[in-house]
Amino acid sequence: MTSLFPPWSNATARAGLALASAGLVGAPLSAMVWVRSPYATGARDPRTQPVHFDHRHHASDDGIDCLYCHDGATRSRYAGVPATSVCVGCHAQVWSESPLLEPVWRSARSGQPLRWARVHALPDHVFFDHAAHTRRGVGCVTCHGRVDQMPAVYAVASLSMDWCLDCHRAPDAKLRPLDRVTDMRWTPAPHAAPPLRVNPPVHCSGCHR
Amino acid sequence: MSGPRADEDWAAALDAGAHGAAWRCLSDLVDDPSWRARARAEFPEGADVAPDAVTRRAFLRLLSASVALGAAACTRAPREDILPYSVAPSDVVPGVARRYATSIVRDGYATGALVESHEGRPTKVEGHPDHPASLGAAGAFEQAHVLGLYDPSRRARSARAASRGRGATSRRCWSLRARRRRGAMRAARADLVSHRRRAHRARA
Repeated sequence: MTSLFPPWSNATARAGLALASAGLVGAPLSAMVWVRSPYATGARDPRTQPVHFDHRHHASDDGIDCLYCHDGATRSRYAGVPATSVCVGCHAQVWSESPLLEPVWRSARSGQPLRWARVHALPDHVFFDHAAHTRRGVGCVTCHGRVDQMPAVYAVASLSMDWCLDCHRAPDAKLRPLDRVTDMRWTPAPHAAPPLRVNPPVHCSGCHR
Repeated sequence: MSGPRADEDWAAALDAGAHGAAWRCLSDLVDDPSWRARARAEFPEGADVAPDAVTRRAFLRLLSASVALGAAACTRAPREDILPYSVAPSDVVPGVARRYATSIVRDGYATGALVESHEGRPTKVEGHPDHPASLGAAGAFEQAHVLGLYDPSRRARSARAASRGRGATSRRCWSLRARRRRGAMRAARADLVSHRRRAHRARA
């Protein structure tokens, strides 16, 4: 009498089982790798801005402090994007003839805001507070990277939750003196004074309300 | 069922089966006619006719397609824009709420209140601790007063204006409607007065 299954069906069944178990592990694993990839998080992706604004020129060459334009960083939840009036404050005097400033003048004349492209976007269920961080010695460069060396700003961090928690669980190494918060080149001196005593939340409602 | 078989019959049947098609049971092997009749009746009539509604296969196909499409739709976070002020108000820091001392008038009496405002949008009314009528407390009417200042679910323009595609004239529309209502009330009142007069005259 014949057997219902040919001899190679054993190998096929084993291969199928192996593939199925690999899929059980691989499918969630690939999804986890995907959400952490720079393509999914949007990190390292400079967006096209309405004005050819160069942080290298303003922050590095001219030495303008971060807080001159992003003055909310130490006072508010939002660091803030400067109003057109802040741009005009200087550029009415310098480079006022530059064609690159045309969108700025258009905004200043019409009163319509400039539509900047958001580079660092957190989910709406995350309640991040800039002031809470900068007032406790988290430097701008710690999260935003060397913005003073970027021709067009991109995010250096993934802004994922485990990235936040890495620092919240062990903050001391990431902190700096309060007068060095906006310093892009500051490095901790060896055997420096013990850093500020901070106690960042690691429970859910610390950031999710 | 056919009668008892001899051993040779079984051997012959098994031998034929070994070289022929697969069999499911002994009755199948010996090709029992009564078993064949029963096997035919196993499925109800019309079971082999394709259903005209959504079949199981089509349903599963649609299900997997929608899962795949749903997964393909959420690939990256949406791109957002930031619109700062064009002229920054000197006393506003975006993200920091401001509190104004003001008063709420109800039935001719003013109560002191503190109103919390986010970038110009009032969100919360509390009592003014220094005001004798409030002493820091606020009742339900004061709390609800915030909706009189800014109500996110309030119509931005009247439904009549919207249906006519005239957003800019909405305010005129509201006043027109009020005038029309006033006219209707005046007419009703005149009606009532004349009716009473007639009744009075009939009695006299």
